[in-house]
Amino acid sequence: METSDCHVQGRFPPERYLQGMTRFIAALPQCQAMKMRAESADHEHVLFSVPFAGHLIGNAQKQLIHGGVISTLLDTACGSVAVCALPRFEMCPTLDLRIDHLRPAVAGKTLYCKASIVKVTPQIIFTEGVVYQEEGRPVSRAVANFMRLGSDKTPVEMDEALFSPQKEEGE
Amino acid sequence: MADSTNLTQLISDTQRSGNWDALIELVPYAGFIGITAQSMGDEILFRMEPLESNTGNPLLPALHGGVIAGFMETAATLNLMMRLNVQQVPKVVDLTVDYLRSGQLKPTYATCVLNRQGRRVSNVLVSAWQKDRETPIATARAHFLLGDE
Repeated sequence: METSDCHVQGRFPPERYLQGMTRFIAALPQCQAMKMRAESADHEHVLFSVPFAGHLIGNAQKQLIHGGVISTLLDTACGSVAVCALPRFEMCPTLDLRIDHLRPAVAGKTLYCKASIVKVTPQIIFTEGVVYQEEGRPVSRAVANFMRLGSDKTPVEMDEALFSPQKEEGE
Repeated sequence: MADSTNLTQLISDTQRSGNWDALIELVPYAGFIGITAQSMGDEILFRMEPLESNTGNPLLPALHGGVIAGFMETAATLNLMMRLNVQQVPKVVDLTVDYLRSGQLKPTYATCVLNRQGRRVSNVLVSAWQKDRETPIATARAHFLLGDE
């Protein structure tokens, strides 16, 4: 694991990251529509999941989950780990997403995505992710790079809204 | 698969009638993100509706990058099926998406170019845009495997 000056050595204990990512996903309509969940998070890794649902099928004949579901899970998880690695929340649009589909994702099983930080630089965040249904049997792997818009472009309140200690979501 | 004759039939029906509904119904995810298609002469124009649920950034608001990727992959797959009269749904091997502009919450269009057609593998380029073709919000390329391995 390479780190740079910009890569903080963890701002919070993992529970705070997990809570932050749970709040983050809750604000993204497409992730809500897929019932995405944050399972674990820290400043270098996140684990997200999407439970199976009929509308996620891409190949009805063979009962396979669509690649778009995998793309969304990867983009979200990789983008989230990018956010966790920063000293403060910044908007980080995806520059590119490159996915290899190693084996089919079958209907009826939850998809998991583990995303990791590769490197943080002042302008760009490099990440990678792997999607699986059973641990050790990857369905897809990906590389995703994100652009940093800078903390001056993102209101401080957004960082607080995500990572402030336990408060009810509505407050 | 026993359904392969049905698929071939469905593809030729779609080619003849220009009505894509039955073919797209084979892909439930396409309905989930609001994809439709239209044959226009030699070209196929794919469209994704600006569904609220396709949002990835509620502040801008902007389409989720994963949804844009899913739209482009679906366009590439359906485009191949129509072009090649396949008997199986082509399998995506890899997909690379470059995000050029944020996708606004409005209709998104895509067209595909069959860059190279080999015996087993196809290389497809996809361009997605909103305002006009010359300012794409994303470009993608993908490899597909045809038939059973």
